[in-house]
Amino acid sequence: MMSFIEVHGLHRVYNSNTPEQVNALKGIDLAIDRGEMLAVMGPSGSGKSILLNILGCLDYPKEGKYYFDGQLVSTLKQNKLAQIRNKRVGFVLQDFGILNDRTAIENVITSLLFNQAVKWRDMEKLAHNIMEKLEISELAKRRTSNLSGGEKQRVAIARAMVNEPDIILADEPTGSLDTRLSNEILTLLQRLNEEGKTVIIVSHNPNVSKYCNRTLNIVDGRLCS
Amino acid sequence: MGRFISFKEMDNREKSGIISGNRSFISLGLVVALLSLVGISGFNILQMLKSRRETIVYLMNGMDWSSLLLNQMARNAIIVLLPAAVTLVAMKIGISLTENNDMFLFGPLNLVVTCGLCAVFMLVSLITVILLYRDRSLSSLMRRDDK
Repeated sequence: MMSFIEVHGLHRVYNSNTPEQVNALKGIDLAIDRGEMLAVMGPSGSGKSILLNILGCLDYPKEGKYYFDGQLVSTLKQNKLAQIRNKRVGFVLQDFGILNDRTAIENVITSLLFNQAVKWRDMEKLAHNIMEKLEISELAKRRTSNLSGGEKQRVAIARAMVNEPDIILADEPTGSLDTRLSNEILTLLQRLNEEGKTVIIVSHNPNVSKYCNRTLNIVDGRLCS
Repeated sequence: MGRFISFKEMDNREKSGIISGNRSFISLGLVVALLSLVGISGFNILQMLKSRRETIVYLMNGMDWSSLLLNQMARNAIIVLLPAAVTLVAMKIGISLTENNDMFLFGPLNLVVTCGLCAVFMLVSLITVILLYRDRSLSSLMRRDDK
């Protein structure tokens, strides 16, 4: 039986056929089951973020096959990939990836704007629900530029969660936070994993692997156990 | 508002002395198109730099590339066509007040310039989106913006 995510012989090359050619990923094979909490560890430039971008259907491999829930991603059209990003994947980034000129709830609603199954009048309520669940409802009307790093990351997680995705892809989610806040964010991701979400965290922080069921190391574009 | 005349009719009018300087007008049209290219490209690049973070956040959250392209084109269309329409109205009023109001409006020059401008804004919209598409690594874009 096929895993939730399967990757076979994944290669990603940038600036191909030029002197600046970079072989970012060199034959990655990977299988991730539903409900796993996986850490992908590796130094800067090892290719872990690129792997995450491919898993999140933002980038594409040059070679190899990527199956998302049984679907061969390379055969999907752009609008289908956009739907996957919207409904099935939640992104959490190191710099939070939130819009600083808006309020927290407006940032959470951003993700709902592209979900055609959600009506305009329901958006605010859905955003409030998820913020309440993550215990940040008091931040709803505050501008994100006035929030602390930990609060911003919680808002980003709320936005990632609002469409109830199957998987959360976190790229260095603790990279801009101190140890205490990092632990809080990792605990929150762990809680979401316990509720059934598949969580993949890319990081070079060794503390992350303590929160995960499985850890993979990536070095120079290759996975090594 | 005005009427179309062909290049042939325009030539005939030049021969009969009704209008003159067609080549100059067409050259002028090309200059206008080139200036527009510079203006629209510059505007788009500045806008892209300004709103790149917002665009990437939207793409990450499920906006598809075709919507982004349509969005860019619509914006450029408004930028080009709105001033063009205002200019045409002003020209129409201006020409109607002159003695020789048989001058061309919507003539070949206008068509060349209009088609040129349309091509320019479509091309620039496309290039803007392609540039973004090629450089779409989320993390790198975001981090660069934060500095």
